[in-house]
Amino acid sequence: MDFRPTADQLALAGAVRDVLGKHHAPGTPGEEMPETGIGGVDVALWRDLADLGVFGLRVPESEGGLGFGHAESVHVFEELGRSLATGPYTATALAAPLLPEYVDGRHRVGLSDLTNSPPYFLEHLDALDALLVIEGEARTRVLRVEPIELRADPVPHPVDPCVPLHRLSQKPLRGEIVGDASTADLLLREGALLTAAYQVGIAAVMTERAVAYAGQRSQFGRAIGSFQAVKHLCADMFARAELARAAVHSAAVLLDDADVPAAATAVSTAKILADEAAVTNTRTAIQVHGGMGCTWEMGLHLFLKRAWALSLAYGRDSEHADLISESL
Amino acid sequence: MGRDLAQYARLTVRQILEEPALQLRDTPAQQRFREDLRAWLRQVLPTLDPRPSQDDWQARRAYDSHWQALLHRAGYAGLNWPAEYGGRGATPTEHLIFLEESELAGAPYVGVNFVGLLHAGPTLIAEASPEQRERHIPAILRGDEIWCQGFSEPDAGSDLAALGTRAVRDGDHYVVNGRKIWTSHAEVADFCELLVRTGPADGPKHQGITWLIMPMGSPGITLRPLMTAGGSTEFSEMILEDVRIPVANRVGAEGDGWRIAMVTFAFERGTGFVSEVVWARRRLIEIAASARENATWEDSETRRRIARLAAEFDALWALVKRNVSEAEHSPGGVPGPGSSVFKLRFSEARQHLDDLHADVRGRASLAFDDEHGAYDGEPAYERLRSLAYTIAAGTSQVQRNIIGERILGLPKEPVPGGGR
Repeated sequence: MDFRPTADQLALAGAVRDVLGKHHAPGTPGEEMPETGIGGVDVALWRDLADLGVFGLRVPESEGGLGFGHAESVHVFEELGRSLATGPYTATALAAPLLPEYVDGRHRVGLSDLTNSPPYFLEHLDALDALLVIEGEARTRVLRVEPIELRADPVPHPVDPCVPLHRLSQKPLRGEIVGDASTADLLLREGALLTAAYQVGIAAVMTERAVAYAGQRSQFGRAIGSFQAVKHLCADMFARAELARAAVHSAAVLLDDADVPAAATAVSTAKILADEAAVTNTRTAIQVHGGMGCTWEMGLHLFLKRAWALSLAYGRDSEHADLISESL
Repeated sequence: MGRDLAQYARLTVRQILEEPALQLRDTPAQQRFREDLRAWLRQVLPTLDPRPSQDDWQARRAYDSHWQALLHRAGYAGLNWPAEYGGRGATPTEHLIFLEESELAGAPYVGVNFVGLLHAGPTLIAEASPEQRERHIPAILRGDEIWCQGFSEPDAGSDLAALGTRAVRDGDHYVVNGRKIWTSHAEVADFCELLVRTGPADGPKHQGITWLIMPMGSPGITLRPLMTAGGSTEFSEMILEDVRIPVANRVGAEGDGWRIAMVTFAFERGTGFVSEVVWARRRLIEIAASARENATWEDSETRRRIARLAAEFDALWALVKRNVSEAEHSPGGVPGPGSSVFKLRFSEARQHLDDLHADVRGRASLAFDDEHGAYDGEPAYERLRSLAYTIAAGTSQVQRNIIGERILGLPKEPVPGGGR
């Protein structure tokens, strides 16, 4: 048993971080919102990450992928979360092991679970080449749908300005069946894990920004981070991010081991802790930044808006709690 | 650039496949250790007498010492201690496996041997003279020698370095006067690890502290048991009046006691609560079963509270494994500051667990459950006992200071008037 990240995982995370560092990151203080292009995707960033192989991460080498596992994927998605990378990264990474044409990241794939209750919001629709749809009474089928054939209207004012939304006005009438109930189950579980990893990235970077600000902002003649009232907020942020990360890594390893019942509970555990860490840490970072935390220019609101949206993606807290309770 | 990195990533695949590193599974050696331990526990646990009443200290000492002697004979005493001092020299991971399997099998806790095995012993190994080690370490390992801890004082709790128990040199003795508090197992202890002030009362507070071995049979020691909120007598106040302790009983140099005492604190936070995570996770299954019986399970809020706590404890277990992996690869196997994160979150989760149990039991939680007999495991007692979890071994507030200052690098809070 060795529960530390491997040198390879750290190198992979470092490589992804290097690429992300060469592009604009939403939420950077004092920067204007960039023009992100069609469907809200930074195409240059997408291409660089695709070149790095992030979409074929779990596809075997013989099929053009990197042959890694979930244990490596979560490191990549934590980095994406740290930089608030915007685009259908999760769904495209989920689709690649299923449909080999998506391995190289030249296509963008979305995913929508239409067994949830409406409204059905589709993210980045204008940037998608394909949409996977989970449907059937009990999530029995996965369909691949042509985005152009969908009847959907743009949502005029999405809360997260980085992620354009369309509201589906009619469920798709046709599509190619690409998976059954077990495929749907796997996609949702893996999606929950990658989303949790992304949320850990948000939780961690919010801790770092709050700590940096608390160390530099001076009131009453001293750094506010020297006051225990502020220091303890930061300590709790750190604890939340660390615990959520441990849960995410543990779930990733269990998924790689194909230990299905244990992995299902572990993924739900990871999603619950990571959602809570991302949302609460973002709120706390805003609190530590004081009045400036609430402003548009400080950019913290973008992390909060994303953390809220991701908390509702791939199963919300109550659904994962219900899944865990079945194992008790 | 991107292509180069992709190339690199592909190259490393083979190394990953050859050497799967991030793994939860035991290595063959760890698996063998686990199986041997399981077999031994299966064989030895049925031979134990029923556990004595929690208030019968002499019987508790006899019971815990017997268990320690059995561990010693089987080679499990001082598991993580170096082999040259009679320990097994096991890795932190093997130690974790030991704690996990012992808890799963329902083996006795370390009990009255807590201070000897977790505090005094490791300190003596690190800092004592060869004569002192020879005198005490084998006896601690065999369960023949019980230790208690004389650190905290009524006026020196979280600010332990402010302790004021005086030791004045008189020939080849120190003469000690003062009061100590929260002294567990004092009634049955043979020795006390005692922190005293040998330097001037108004000198720098972290200097001038000395670590002494105090024989509990020395004249001048008075014990006053403190009853906890749960009604047990776990702790005592210890009053020291002109207690004469040989200078030969000093560990390390005069005035170096603070540094010596700090050596063991990280260990306490790192492994002190590990088996309790296993206990808590099992307790949650029992709570879920009770909830199904009395239909509180039908309430989705209660059901989800149980599930969220299960998630919290599972995550804590994952964190323990990571902390242990880090300790295993750090010099000296000392747990890192990550153990403060664990201590902070575990102690709070533990209190939520007992509150949840009470909510599921409803008004039944207002009476101690007579069928449980002794205190251990009785839900109302555990609920009261867990009040101390966020206080003992460094309060939650102290843990947050440690995280904020030592991990995150935030500035220390200024001390009014400059402090001393």
